[in-house]
Amino acid sequence: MASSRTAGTNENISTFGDGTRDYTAISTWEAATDNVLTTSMISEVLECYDDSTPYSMTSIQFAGAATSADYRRILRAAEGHRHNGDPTAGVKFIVTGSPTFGFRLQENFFVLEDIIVTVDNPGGSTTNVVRADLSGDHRLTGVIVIDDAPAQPGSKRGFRIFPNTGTTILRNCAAIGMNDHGFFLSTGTVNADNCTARDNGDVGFNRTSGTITVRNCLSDGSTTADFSGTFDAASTDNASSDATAPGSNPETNQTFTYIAADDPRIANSDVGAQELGADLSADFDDDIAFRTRDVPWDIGCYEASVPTGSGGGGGLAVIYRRRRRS
Amino acid sequence: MPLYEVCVAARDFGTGRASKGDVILVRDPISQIGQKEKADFIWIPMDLTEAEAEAIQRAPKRAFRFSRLRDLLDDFDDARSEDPTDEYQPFYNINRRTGRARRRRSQNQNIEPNPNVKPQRRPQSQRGRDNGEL
Repeated sequence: MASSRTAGTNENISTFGDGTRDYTAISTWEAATDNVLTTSMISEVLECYDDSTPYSMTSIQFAGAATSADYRRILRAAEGHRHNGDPTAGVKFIVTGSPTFGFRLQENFFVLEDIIVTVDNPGGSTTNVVRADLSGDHRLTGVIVIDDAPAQPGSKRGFRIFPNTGTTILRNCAAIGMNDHGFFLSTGTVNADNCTARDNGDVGFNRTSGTITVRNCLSDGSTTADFSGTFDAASTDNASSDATAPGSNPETNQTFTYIAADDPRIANSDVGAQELGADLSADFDDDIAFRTRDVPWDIGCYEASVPTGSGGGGGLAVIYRRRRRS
Repeated sequence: MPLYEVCVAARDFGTGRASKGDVILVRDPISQIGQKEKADFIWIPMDLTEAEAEAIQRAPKRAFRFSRLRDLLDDFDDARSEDPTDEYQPFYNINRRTGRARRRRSQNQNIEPNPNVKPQRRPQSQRGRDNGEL
């Protein structure tokens, strides 16, 4: 079994947070680790702590380091400081100044994991909150993009992914309440597995070009359409609140039940996505909360009803699942 | 004018994308400097208007001439600022354990970027800038 999270070879771990940590700004870590990692043969890792979240910051661009599948840069939430699917917990960044992007991945093999990002965009420009382009083979796992101020005139897209090389993979990510697209995927090769788009203002998963595969993805309540465009034939087991879920075994016109408003986690009582997904354990086996999924998989980023010992859920959830199966 | 914290690279880094004198960051003051941010960067408190802060954030590479810092801070030591083992921060007193930073009183005046270079768009390989694609 494999986790959806990515480990680098020979990790050199630095910490981010208050003055007791190594770095108080992501941009200083980015500058200091802008090295030829393929020569030094280390992976540079920044583990973020929620010492004083949310962190206010200007937009950040990751670029320049020489990387490979083994030696890469990784930005992730530290253990014990993860959101575990709860958008009100964990490490959160607010990107200010009406930027055109929040986090921009412009470096091959860059990894972004288990953080929450939002953007303050009162200026009216278009912001791609998490953007990956002019590079490829990025890995985004457990990243939540949420719009805390949807009434702002600025247009905010959750994930704008258009790599020009390799395959960019998104797993267990969520886009919530954006006033534009949740996931805007195009140009290169992108796989989105078990991602959730909820209540976005345009399209939940928007494919305009490229080889875009969506598996076990959930889109709910999008203003224009939950899914739009022609997705790759390998797409399977997606769910939508309208008639647009693409690929094999689509679950269309579903009603989803969540733990809370503006939360990507489906509740134990959900029947729209729970136990309706494909088993992707050949590729990965955990959810946004680091819990091992069980068969049949749930659609979306969160596996409801996972027994205690896998990281949450609880005994009652086990009983519920057994009843459903009987 | 509000106070900002301006972070400048103290030396050239690995791939050369960040070089000595580059403005890495302009932020509202948090009065904390990380344990690994003391030796690689020079942190400078500056009283700036919002427009000035934005202009400095957009400043081109090597916008800060370190030689000018000596004019503004009598005992500025350029050699120490370049030493990667020296946590040299002439503008702040820093608590080694907590990273809390307190502005030194010896700063003579505000420090401005090199006046001979105007803020401009950085190439797309530079951090924090957009290449116009959406």
